[in-house]
Amino acid sequence: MRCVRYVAPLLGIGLALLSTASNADMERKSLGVDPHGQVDIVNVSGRVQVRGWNKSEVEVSVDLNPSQRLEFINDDRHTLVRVASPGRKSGQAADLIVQVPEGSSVSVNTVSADQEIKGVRGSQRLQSVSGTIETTVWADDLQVKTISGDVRVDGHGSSSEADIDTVSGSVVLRDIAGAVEVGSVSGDIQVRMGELTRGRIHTTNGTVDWRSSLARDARLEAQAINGDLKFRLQKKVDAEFDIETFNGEIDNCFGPKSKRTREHAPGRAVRFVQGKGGARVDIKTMNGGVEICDD
Amino acid sequence: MNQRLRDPLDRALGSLPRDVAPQRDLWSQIEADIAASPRPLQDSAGPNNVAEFPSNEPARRSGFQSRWLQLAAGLLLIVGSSFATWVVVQRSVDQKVLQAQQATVQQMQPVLNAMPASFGGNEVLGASYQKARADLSAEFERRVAKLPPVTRARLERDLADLRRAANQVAATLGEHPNDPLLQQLLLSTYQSELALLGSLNNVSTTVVGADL
Repeated sequence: MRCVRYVAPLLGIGLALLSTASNADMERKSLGVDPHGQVDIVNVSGRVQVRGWNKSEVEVSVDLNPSQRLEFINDDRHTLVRVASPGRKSGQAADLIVQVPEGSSVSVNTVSADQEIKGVRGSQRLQSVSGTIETTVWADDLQVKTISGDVRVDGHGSSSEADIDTVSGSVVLRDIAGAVEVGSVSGDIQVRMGELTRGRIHTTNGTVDWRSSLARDARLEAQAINGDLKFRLQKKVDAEFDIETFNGEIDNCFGPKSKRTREHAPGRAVRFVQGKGGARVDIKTMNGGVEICDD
Repeated sequence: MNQRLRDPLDRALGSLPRDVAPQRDLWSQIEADIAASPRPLQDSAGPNNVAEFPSNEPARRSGFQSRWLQLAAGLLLIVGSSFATWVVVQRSVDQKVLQAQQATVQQMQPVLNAMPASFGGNEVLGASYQKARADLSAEFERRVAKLPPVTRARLERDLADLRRAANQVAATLGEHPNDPLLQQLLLSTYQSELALLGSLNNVSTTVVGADL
């Protein structure tokens, strides 16, 4: 038993040494850049970590295979960081760590590589086929496109525009505000945000769990085929609601009960004005249920 | 106001005499004229108060012919009215069918214009759209085949889900062709399919050098 007590710390020390040795093998390069420039990063597989810092330079750390090479070019306000794998070896994984000026705008393209972006305050365009994408955002625009990768976005309460599109990945958005567009086929969508100005959500089979307040003239549109849509609206709600489902149920905490709208189909609908109106909420589903309540 | 205006009129009406006597007695002259006129029908009326002509034989022949004529006229009337009804009904049915066809085309127009697609429904598909979709599908198949098996399986499952959902909406729309909600959802699902087919192409082509 006494031996077991020492195994865990020893393992920890061993892993730390291994990690240090591994980092020591990483190729590291840096270039002076515009603090508000554009940084494009390309890596097919492996991992991409982008960190914003308060220096006017881009620093790249990468552990390359012998067949791979790093393209690291700066041209005026534009910097390119790319792991190039000639021929059919493009699937080889590479771990890439890129430190950029925090005011930079970044574009990251990967196939299966996971992406993690932290501390970048400029706009972000993140694309991946199957890699997961995690990022933090401030007031600038965000565009995320992924096929099967999960997406997680953490904001700082600032208003911005976020456009998230995934096929089967799940989407989690937290502490963002402003305009949001989210689409998925089967991925579930969870949104916890401040004030919404414009929102558009569409899903085929995924569920939507949404929590936000509505700006005075907000517009929120949601559409689903089979997915259930659940909205929790915070603060005072002054909005006009138009909710319709062909075959689902409507659970509405605000206005009147929904009514059947079709003679030979189970469709239900409810239209009403809550408070002074102003904002507009438009929800449509085929089989999915709709739940809308205050928080 | 009306009451006040009407009062003088009422008063004037009230002042008129209620009975007006004829200037001369007409009834005596009328009675004399009736008595002097011939009464053939009344005279020849049979026991059942059926009017008969003075000569029985010609009357019988004439009645016989008249019955045939009446029968023929009746038959002609029946045939004529039936034909006229058939023509009117047929035109009405044709018009209704035409209207229904036009209405269906109009109802489908937004869907067809924007996305002339079908995944098993009866809609007419646009040739250019079909080609574009086929090209996208072929490119998608080519690229998806090069993805890792897990990713490929997820994508293919998602595409199948999407097409199943579109089939489901299209089939329901077939049962409820006037439903704007279903039309909207079908259009949206078609667009999602195209977006999915295109997304893999777009994402992979942006990764310079990626062999997808």
